[in-house]
Amino acid sequence: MGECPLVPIILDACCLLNLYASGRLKEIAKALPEPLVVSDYVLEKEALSVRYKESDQDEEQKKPVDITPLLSAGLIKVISINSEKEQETFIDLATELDDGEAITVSLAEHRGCQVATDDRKALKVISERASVQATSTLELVKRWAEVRNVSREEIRSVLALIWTGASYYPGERDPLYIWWRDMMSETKEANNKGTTH
Amino acid sequence: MEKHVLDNIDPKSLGQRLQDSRKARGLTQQDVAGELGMARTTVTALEKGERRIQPKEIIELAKLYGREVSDLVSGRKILGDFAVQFRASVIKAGSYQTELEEAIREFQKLCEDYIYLEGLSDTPLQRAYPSEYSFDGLPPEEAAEDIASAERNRLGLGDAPIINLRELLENDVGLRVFYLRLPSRISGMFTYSDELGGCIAINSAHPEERCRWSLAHEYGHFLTSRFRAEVSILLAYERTPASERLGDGFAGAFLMPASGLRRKFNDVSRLRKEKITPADLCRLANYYFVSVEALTRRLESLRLVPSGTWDRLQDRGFKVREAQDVLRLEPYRVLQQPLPLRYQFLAAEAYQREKITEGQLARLLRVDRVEARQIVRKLTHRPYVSDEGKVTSLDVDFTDMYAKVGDQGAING
Repeated sequence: MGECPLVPIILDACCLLNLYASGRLKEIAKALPEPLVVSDYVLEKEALSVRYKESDQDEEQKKPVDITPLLSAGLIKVISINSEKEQETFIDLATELDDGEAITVSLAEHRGCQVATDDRKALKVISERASVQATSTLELVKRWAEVRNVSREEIRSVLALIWTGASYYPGERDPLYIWWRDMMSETKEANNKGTTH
Repeated sequence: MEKHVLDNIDPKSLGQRLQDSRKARGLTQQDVAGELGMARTTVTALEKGERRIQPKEIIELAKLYGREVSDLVSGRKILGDFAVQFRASVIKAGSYQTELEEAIREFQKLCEDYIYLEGLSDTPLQRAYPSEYSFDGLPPEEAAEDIASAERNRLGLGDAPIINLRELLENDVGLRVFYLRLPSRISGMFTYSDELGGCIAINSAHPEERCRWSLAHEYGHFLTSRFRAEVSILLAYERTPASERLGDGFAGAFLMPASGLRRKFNDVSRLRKEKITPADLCRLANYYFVSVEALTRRLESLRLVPSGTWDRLQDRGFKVREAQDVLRLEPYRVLQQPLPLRYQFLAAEAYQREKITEGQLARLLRVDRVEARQIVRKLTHRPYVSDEGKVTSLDVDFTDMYAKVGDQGAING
């Protein structure tokens, strides 16, 4: 008997923005065994830009999300709603979610994907649908760190980039909130040491 | 067999939303039929709720109408007759007709979004509207003076300058005020319905003093003829109609009440012991947060300076900006946020309470997702000084009953 095929992970706009802001999307996509996919709608209309600064003194600027190299390398695939079943589920979900989330969850349901999202409303809706599982930005970052044996210092830097580039911070009910908070506290301490010496 | 939304949705109310969305986009049934390659009778049947809509059709219609599918199926109110009220102004708009139509569509969507947010939190806008003021039989300027004085009394303003006009009208009167990019010749728009209340859009591209003037002007329309939607166009008339004269008269009298201005002017004159100078006019204009032109013309109408003073200043090449720089008068600066603060709080609250997604939040706030996150963070984390004088942050979590004092998060220092 062969191994079960890996369940693809479909990134919603929140997660794509966070991972793009981390500056490690390529490394994460390479490290995870599951294929990564994203809907055309999210890519074209939702996950448009993150922020960056040349230095602490500079003004924050918008940086367009450009994942063309990852698409060319086959590390992420773009999929779209095609069948009538997918359309029907999308419309059902659109009574509660925005179109981007509704398309993402519909695709996950019909194509057997796991949804990567940090959107609390979307997570609530997903929890009511037995056929769809969810993961999050922090879970993906943590898994990448474990698979690649990434140092704490680098994890801290990635989480800080997600904060500065995407203004993302998890809610206290996020299962990895404590892990994130501890990491970020270390970042703050490290920064304080840097400024006092 | 599994039931879907399109099997259960009331076809008549969906049809109505489709019709309202089409009209808001300025399309005929024939246009829609042509665009989507369907018979006009099919469009009619869909709008009457006589035919079940197919998933593909609703997706294509939403795209054509510039709506999300979720707008059409989530039961959100679409204001079908909103644009119709501005039809006469649109026809007169000439070269900037398309731009005006676009601005009206955005104004409509903002009003729809506002009532949607109020519905989510079940907190309708508190209104403190007076009965309409009548100015029959009185010259508009004279009526404007009386109405402005009555309104100042009603709102307990005395005769001091109004610092936050927008907040006053939003919070104490219950108007919906948006700052939008409008065609440059349009200073503002106003509409009213029983459902929406009074709604004002101000041209955000105009200087701040002008925006305040336009806002007071539109408020004058609301007070005197609230059932007539209005687009205020600059220099549009050879002979200014009574309603516009009243709007301007009201703006002047409301922003610069006669008693207060007279007293302030006399104080300045007494100190100077000679003729009032252009520098005094600049200082007084700054005091009332109005333009030097508006201040001078108001002084002329109150006969505190000779008639034609402003025109003479202009003929002599008086440069307001340079004079203000010399006097080191900071121009009036407030952050002209497109959306009312209450609207932003309602959106942040709905997001925190998991009533809307992040995508919906960003769309409601008219910003991208990262900025939407920043706005929520800003609205829900307020600086706080403890009894010991330590500056920390107050985390306002709308999902909890009580706000809690946080440890400044871990990173925003």
